[in-house]
Amino acid sequence: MSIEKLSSDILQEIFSQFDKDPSKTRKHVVRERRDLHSCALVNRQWCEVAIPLLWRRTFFQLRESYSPIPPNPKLIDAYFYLEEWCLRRVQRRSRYEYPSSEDSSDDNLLDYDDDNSGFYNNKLVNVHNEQQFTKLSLKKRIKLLTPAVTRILLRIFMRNSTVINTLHCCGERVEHDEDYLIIAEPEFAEFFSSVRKEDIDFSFFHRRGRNKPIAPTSWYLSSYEVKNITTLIESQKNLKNLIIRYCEITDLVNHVMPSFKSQANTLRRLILHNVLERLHVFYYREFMLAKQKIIQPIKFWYNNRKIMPCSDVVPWLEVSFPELDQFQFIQHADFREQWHQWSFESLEKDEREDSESEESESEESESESNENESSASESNEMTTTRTSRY
Amino acid sequence: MATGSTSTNISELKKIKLTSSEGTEFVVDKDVGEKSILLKNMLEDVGENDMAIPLPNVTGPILTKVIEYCTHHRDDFFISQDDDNKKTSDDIDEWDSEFCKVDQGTLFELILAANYLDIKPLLDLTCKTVANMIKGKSPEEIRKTFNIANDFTPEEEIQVKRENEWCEER
Repeated sequence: MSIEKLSSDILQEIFSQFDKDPSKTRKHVVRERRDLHSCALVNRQWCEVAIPLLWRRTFFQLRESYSPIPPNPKLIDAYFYLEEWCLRRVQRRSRYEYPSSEDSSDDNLLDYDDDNSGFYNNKLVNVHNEQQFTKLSLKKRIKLLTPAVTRILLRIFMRNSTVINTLHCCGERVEHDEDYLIIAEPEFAEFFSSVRKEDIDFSFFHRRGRNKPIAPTSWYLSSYEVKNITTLIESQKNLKNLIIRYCEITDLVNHVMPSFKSQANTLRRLILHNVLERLHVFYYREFMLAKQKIIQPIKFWYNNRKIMPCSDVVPWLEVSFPELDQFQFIQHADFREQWHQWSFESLEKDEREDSESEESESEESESESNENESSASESNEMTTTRTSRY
Repeated sequence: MATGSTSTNISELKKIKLTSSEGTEFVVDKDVGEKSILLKNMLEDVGENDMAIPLPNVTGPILTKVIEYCTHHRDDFFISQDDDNKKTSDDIDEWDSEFCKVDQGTLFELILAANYLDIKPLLDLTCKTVANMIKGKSPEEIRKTFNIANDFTPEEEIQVKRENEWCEER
């Protein structure tokens, strides 16, 4: 009997044995990777089994020193954290070799009009003006290179993984007038709509807000991105969870929400995170009207207290969401003052207490919200739970 | 195959019958047979029964080896998955190591049998043995060791190499 008769499951069992060193020292990890890499190059079957093991923790390692990772690894098959520190790490590792646009005809990294940087001779360069580029500070260079690095990471990832449960994209605005939503570019959109997938999470926020005051509008998704998100959502098959952050309420209601229709039969969980801007309180009513139509019966909860029962229901957008059982609306503390003027009079007293205690923090809340996206304590969190099904 | 137990415990004296793919009948002590989760579950389902359990996927020589392993480890408390993960692929004990000194064909058949019969420690042991044969080898050396044909096109091979070169980083 030959080893080629062993099924992929058994091969996986064998390759998993490389990973059983309790010490998990760097040396061991490197050795394990090298063994898996050798296995990947043996033949096609071995390659198919070894590659997922090889890439299993790549992105965990990229952000190993960062804030806690959600505990379920199934939820983080693809986690691209495109922040400065990550790029610095990528740059520092001179041994990383990416496909350069010189040696691959089909891998043109410069397919996109807005992309003015790329990889040449395994160095990150700005192709428009290399000389000038090298004079820029590292920080500035990194900013210019973010989209190129993102595309390469995505491209490499695409070829190495075909199962995605969650795609969590933490994007960063590179420049005020340059907005990127790389996963919606045709090459990637096609891939992300073809793989098995349960979740999409869009979050875009501005890291530079920490030290510099930035016009509030720059926090939110641009109309270019909104269009891309809409296209991307519509191209998905059987999406179960959808999380959208920092999308302007008018865009959300008018453009993004209608695209949810395409996923109506499977959508289970919908989270809208910081979709209200201070200046857009007016639209809150509009949003509430749209939202009231989503779920029946709606119960609004705030800090575990029921605050506003709604009973009038019309199927939202003339479509029912038979699987929807969680709808979450999360708004950061920074906006709550005006927010509550709208409809939460009954909580005014609690609010005043809360906002007093948090007033000192309000200046920092923008950066905090970036830093600790998942922290419920920093945000007003309102969850509506559907108690009966259509 | 079964050896008489000196214990007076009645349950340990119970025997079960197994039939290999060629139809050879093996009689083993129940506690030995129950190292296989498959057999254990089967026995629980059918209850007391004198019928031989057919194992069409396991040949006589392989079943003999499997029974040898289970008999040697009959008193081991088979460790749970979590504990097992703490063991490295290097720390195979002497008896187990001797047990695995068989030709490649037998080793792979043992893997299949352990997988089919659901004997996790034997599956781990045999997989570990194969993993140790792979460790530190180049792809070409692995192909030679196991007599595997390279079915990559040159382009595919280059691409796999290029996209995973980061693993070679020290």
